[in-house]
Amino acid sequence: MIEVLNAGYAALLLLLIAIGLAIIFGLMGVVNLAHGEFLMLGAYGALITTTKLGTFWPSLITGPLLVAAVALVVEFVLMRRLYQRPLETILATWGLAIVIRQVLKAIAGPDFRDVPNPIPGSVAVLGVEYPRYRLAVIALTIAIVVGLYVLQRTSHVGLVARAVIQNPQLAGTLGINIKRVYQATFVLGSALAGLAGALLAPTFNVFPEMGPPFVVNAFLVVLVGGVGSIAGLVSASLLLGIVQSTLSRYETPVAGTVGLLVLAVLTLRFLPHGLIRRAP
Amino acid sequence: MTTNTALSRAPRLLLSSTPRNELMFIAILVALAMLVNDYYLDLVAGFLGLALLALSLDLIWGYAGILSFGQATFFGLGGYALGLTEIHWDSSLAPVGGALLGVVAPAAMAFVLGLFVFFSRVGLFFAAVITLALSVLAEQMVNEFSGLTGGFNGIILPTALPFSVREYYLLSVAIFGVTLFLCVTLVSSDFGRVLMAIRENEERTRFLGYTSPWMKTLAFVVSGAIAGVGGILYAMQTGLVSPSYIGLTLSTQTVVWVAVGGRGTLVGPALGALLTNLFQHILSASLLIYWQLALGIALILVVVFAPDGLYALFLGATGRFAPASLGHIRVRHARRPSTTRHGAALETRGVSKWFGSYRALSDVSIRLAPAELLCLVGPNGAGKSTLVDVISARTRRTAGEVVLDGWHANTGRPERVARQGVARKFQAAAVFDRLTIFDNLALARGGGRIKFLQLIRRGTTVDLPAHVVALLKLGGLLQQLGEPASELAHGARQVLELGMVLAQEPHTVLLDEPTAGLAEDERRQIGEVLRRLTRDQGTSIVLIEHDIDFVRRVADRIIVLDHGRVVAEGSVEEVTNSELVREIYLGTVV
Repeated sequence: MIEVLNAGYAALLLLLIAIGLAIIFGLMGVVNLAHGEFLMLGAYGALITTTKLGTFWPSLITGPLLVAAVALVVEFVLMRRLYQRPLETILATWGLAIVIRQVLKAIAGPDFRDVPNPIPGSVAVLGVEYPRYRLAVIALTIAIVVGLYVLQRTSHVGLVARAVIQNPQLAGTLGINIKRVYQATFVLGSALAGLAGALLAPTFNVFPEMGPPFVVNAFLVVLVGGVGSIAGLVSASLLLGIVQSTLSRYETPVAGTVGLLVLAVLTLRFLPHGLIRRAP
Repeated sequence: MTTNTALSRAPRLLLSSTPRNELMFIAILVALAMLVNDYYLDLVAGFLGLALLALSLDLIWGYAGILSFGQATFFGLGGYALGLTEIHWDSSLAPVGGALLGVVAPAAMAFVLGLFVFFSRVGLFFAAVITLALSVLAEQMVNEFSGLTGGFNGIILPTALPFSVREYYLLSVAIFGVTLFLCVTLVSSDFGRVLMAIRENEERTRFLGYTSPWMKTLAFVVSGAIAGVGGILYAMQTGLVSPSYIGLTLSTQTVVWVAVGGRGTLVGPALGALLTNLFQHILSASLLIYWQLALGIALILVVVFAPDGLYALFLGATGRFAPASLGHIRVRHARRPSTTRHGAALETRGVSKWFGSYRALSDVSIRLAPAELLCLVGPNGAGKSTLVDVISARTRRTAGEVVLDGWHANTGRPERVARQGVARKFQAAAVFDRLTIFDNLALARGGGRIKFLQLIRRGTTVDLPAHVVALLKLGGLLQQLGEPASELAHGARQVLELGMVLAQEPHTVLLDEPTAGLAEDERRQIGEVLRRLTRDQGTSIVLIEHDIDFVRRVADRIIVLDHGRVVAEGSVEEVTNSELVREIYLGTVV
């Protein structure tokens, strides 16, 4: 039973770190390699909030807000110059990632920091003792994804987003302000990275170099899932998360990482459009 | 028989025939040996290994357009091959054997990877993703199998070098210099021109007959070998191999050196690697953060404002940017007649193409007689372009047969169709923007083949049949052979691409709206060119066209497509007078 919970947790963790990247990539075709650094900023947001206020929970608001503010500036100064150049965005956002890391190092120092677990201990679920905080992460991640799905399917914002994914030019001629949509998308996707960072802060070491492994995994999940599909994203997270956690348990954590990478590469080699391909 | 005619003010020699900047670079490195103390010589010797790593990335990224986030893997593999051989092979030859293995192993890995990556229809990011994964994997593996690799601490090389620091430095400069000139030779060769064409527009390159996956794999193998040499040099200088030599961090740093230094300039990336590492070494730890910060900012600024990098800016400022390559155009008689032996130039039998449930083509059978000019007409979405895509193997058909001059085309590879003598022009003129007009023509004339000598040599003469030269003259292209194609106006681009199609001397050409966006006068001239082509050269033509007046002037026969079916077929009069065709175009006639 514990294996099932662990596998589910691993899958949802991937989903949580990938969803912001997926939204930005799906809507704008921009690969944001600074996604891991946005996540790291969210974690520092949680660190500061917890230290100043003495309680962790407001971090789930302040973390994403901090990152949203940074993303707003980044979009204005940098991203809007690169919207038609997908391969260039990889480079530019990598530069941005370096900048954010170094600034954090200069301000906060390179050391590991801890955000204390706000709800320590474990609770009996399905016959096993499971850490309470992990259960909270699982619940919140599911809530975020379901919320986004409902938003996309039922709201006007979701309709606009789907229109822009399908055909940006056409959407533009219908009076949709593409630039505003892109701006909002970039801020929302980045804020989700901030939220992920804040939520995960009590479970990871917080330090300026923590971002790159996250972005590698998130990027793979997004590509394996297939662009522009929440169902694809969820299935990719499940597939990769389950393989990773199973291999980690029965072999070694390194085997888990290797399994995830190999599976992702093989999937993309034989299904270039990912697991779920949006209708052309 | 060849008629030599001087058609252009052609300089006799082409670019970098004397690579002055490269020579000066090497000269400065040699001079350093006299000017600088041993401490710095030792450092720079190691950094030359990193400069080779940058060269290896520039070769595939700057020239062939393949972004690799895994260059350090080849580099580290070179280093580890050397280290492990020295440890496990108790022989005085171990360093030599290890160095050999350190070149061969990365090259072999690049070969396997190339086969895996380049031969599938993968997405835009696949090469970047797989090399990224490779970097992470390699680092994990090295740490995991610590019994073999020494894990986190790495391997200390047991063999001390039998050289003084200065000798070792000069040896490094020699190796670097030789590799640099090898790269310069390679990228200025016919092969290098094909690589750049792939970078500019891979699909167009394939439709000229080049098997781009093999070309990319070859470039990747050379790049892997060079990175391996870099790893060997670096390991020798540091006396050590560790996981940091093989992982993602070094791989991404290499990307930064190359991007900031200047993609596609060779010297730029090498300088980027040398100077970046030198600064990093000189600056104290507290300043290092700000140096890294500056590097990140530099990367962003370069991407946004100077995509060609700092070295290209410098070359532009000093007016030394290598002049675009040039050469002669010579007129020769066409291979007459370039036409068919099997009765029909082209035949489709019951061809269907479905996109999911959408039927773009249903049971289309057409036949093109030798030297016939067949016009495909029909409203938007009728399936005209899809039919041409299917014939030219751009799209896989769902059912049916395509026979090209007796050859049963059953391939998903456009280059095979091109080499069978069926050439294609795209609707939006597809030319190689950053290559010169001469280069564009040379590529077309190259026929999709690269012989061994063309890896190191560049053709300076292109022989073109008289009718192609006449066409180029019509577009005013002969006066601007040295201009990049991006400078051309819309009409001239169309003419250039048509010229490239005809330069292949195909027996059949597929033209997708070749006169789109041209002025009436130009359209008339193109029409005459096409008529002459069928009459004088015996070329068969399939022409997609909307302008019915144009069709009337040139067509031998018309086929009307609607909703993916052939609905009418016949002479110009028959079809234009048909009720059915009017209905399709105008709706039901009341």
